[in-house]
Amino acid sequence: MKCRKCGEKAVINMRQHKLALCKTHFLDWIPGQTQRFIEKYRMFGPQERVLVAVSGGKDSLSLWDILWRLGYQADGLYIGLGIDGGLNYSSESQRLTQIFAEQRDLKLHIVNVLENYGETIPEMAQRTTRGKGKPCSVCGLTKRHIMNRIAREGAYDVLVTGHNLDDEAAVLFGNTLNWIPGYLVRQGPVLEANRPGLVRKAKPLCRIYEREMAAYALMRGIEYIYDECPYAEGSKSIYYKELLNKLEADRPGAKLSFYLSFLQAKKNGLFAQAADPDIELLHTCPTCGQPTSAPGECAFCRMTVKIVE
Amino acid sequence: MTVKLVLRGKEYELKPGMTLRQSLFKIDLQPEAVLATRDGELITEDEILQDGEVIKLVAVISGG
Repeated sequence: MKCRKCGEKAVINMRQHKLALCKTHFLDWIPGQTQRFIEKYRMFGPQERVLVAVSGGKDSLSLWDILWRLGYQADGLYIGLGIDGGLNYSSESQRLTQIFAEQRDLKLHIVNVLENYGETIPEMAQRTTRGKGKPCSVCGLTKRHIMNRIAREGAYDVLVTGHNLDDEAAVLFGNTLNWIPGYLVRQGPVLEANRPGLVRKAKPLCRIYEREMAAYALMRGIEYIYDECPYAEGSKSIYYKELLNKLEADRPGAKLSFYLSFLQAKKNGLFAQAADPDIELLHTCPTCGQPTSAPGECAFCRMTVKIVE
Repeated sequence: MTVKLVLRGKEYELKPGMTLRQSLFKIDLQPEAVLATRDGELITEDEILQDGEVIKLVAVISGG
């Protein structure tokens, strides 16, 4: 197979775009596409300060690399979750993230959950009903809280995450299977900061396939944590991704079409804002100042045991 | 006469002469879920796998 742009040997074929590219043209194409989506969905401008949530995985490190190559003012935020799982999962992902930042002379914020809140994620999960069985819900809540906090404290204009198209399609699939209107209303490339205490969020990779992001990381020589989070095994999102990939094998472009059709349907008014029961009822947490769906302390503040310095 | 595909330390032995895509389906892997490298370079799905080759597969799905 030959590169469509130069005729050299292709290293990747993107069946959904009917596009095969060589290494050089693929490494140009990905930042070009990312820039296109940043502009199309009005995510942020060249003068704005961007905070990239980085996990040490292929997507977030690649996103940071792309934004750096595109010339954006992008700092990183790594959250140390204290997950070991016999792999030193958190310490290894932090090490790789720090190496990445040092190589490019980029600013990296590190927030260690244990040092800040007195417990690791698995410990919090063991103590609380929210974490019964699996710590993923506790982990998600904690990461959302810390990302928003650091973005506010640092006066960043936007917080970006490395969610790729497969992530978005899997979430959409789950929310559609269960018809969860609140989540469907909120899903999109940009989540506006439409309440006090909230920071604008964006997903610049939302239209790029996970396979292409892995290829980008490999071709750029980005060393990322290859092992999966030990708690992700058997997760619904991975199961949904596998199902969608079976569909994609028979119908190239099915995942992209599913997501884009959803965005179009939303734009056409298929999902009313009133379908999101939380949107009008947000309160401000008296402890942390972040929005919460019920009066009083938010779920994160109620969950955490803070260390008094 | 074999081709070896390696994914996360697990080895699969197949007959040579098939494309990468056909080989992946043979071992019940979705082409969308992996990348394949030969001598450290990515290869496309239409590549015919030759006798004695070792193809390293990289899993691309993550989540949780």
